[in-house]
Amino acid sequence: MKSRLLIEGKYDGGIVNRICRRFELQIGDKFELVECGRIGALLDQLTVDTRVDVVAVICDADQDLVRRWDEIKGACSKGGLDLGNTVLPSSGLIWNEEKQQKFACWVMPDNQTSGAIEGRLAAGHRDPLQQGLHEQALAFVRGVQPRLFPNTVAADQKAGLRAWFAVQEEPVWVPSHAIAHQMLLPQLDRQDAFVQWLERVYALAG
Amino acid sequence: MVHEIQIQNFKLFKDLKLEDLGRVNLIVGENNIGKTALLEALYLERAHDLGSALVQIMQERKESGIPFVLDYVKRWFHNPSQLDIDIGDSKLEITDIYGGNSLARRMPGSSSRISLDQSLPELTSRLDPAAKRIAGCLAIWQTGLDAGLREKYWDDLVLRGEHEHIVKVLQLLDPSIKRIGLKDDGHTVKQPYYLDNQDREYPLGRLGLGMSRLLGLAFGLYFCKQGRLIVDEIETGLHFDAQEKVWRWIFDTAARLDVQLFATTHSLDCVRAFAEVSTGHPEEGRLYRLDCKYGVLRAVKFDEEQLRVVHKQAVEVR
Repeated sequence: MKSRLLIEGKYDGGIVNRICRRFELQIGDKFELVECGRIGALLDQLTVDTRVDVVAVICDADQDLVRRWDEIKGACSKGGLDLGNTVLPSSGLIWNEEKQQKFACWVMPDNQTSGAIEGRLAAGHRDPLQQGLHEQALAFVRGVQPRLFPNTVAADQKAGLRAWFAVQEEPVWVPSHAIAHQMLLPQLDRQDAFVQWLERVYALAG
Repeated sequence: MVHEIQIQNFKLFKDLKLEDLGRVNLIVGENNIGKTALLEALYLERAHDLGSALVQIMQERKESGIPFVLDYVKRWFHNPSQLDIDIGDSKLEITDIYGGNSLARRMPGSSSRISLDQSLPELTSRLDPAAKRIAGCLAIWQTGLDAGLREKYWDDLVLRGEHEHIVKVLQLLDPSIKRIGLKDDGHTVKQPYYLDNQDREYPLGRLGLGMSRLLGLAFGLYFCKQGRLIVDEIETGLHFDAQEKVWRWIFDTAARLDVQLFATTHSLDCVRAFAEVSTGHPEEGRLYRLDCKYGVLRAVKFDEEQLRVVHKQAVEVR
């Protein structure tokens, strides 16, 4: 069985790998991980009907979740998979129908709101000092952001996270390293909806 | 140029439809999925002489040892209890004429019939050489262009000055080629020779399989004006660096001469080069994959927008 996990961000494969490793899901053994680099490239890939049996997608909602979900369904339809009027569940989509391509989708941060993968990663600080630093970094970003980049929730989350990384004693540059250093997702457990979705995706690939 | 074709009851195809065909159509798919069978169907629908087409197909399939042609043709039927095949505008059927088995082909404006109660050598020997004509449809199988056809039509090509174009095409692979011609060197048919830029004469075969393939393609395109060219494993012998140049020339020439091309390949390089070139020729290039996903044999089409993605993101579609 051929399976492919399409991830929107250029460095987000490392995040997914770290999370999977923590829960002993050898995702790389079952899935070819493709970091698409941008949402357009990910959607383009969905428009092509390949011989892959399972396609899973992790992308950001950005400023409009409904629009993003419609874009995903439209691309899938062009690629030969008709998801019809399927609503994106809060627990993430697992599409496992007879004689159809298996498909899974998680739209960051939580399939329900606008935002990005960074919004999910930043949830649940263990250390109050770090939480304070992150809040200050976010406030700083919100102060300067209208002059630097578009004023969106997703942009806030991305820039806020990186600003917080930068003010560490030993700055980290990519979220996957922050996960490794327990700066991010320190209390992530099997009850987390994203982890449960990853487990179902892992099982979907047989 | 046909825009869609439906094939019913032929070999693996119970009912296969290819829609939105382009001028240049490349077919991919795993082994034994029916790529060559699809080309055979396209050839049987249009070939000028049904007998020659059948002989070519049997020879390519290495079926010369079969006692009667009937035994081979009977294997064509997807449903053995239904002895007729529909391919586009043609209907092929086994009929019993005066106690003998025949294969009849009916198509708008013409029909032909050949006896199936004979061996392949008998059928071959009884074919009328004059009937061996290209007439708007030519197939180039894995073993290359039929050398007899090449010899038969070469002078026409020279008369029309088109051999000059063929030299230019061969120069895509070897710029030192200055002139080309056929020469009697003791083979049963004349062989292609070339002069290099220092007027030295060599058999074209010394330049390898790719050059022979390119000659076959060039010959085929010039002799299928307003017709159909069929090429099995088109990339044979062509280095991946050359494939983009060759596709570019094929797209331009097929459009200029109003030829519709159907070709198969297994090569990823060939698909990628095709995808790259077809993005510059909107509405001309189509890629189809035959696959048996979810238990149904189907032809999945990739249009120019999807080919752009295949090219830019190196998506594996074979």
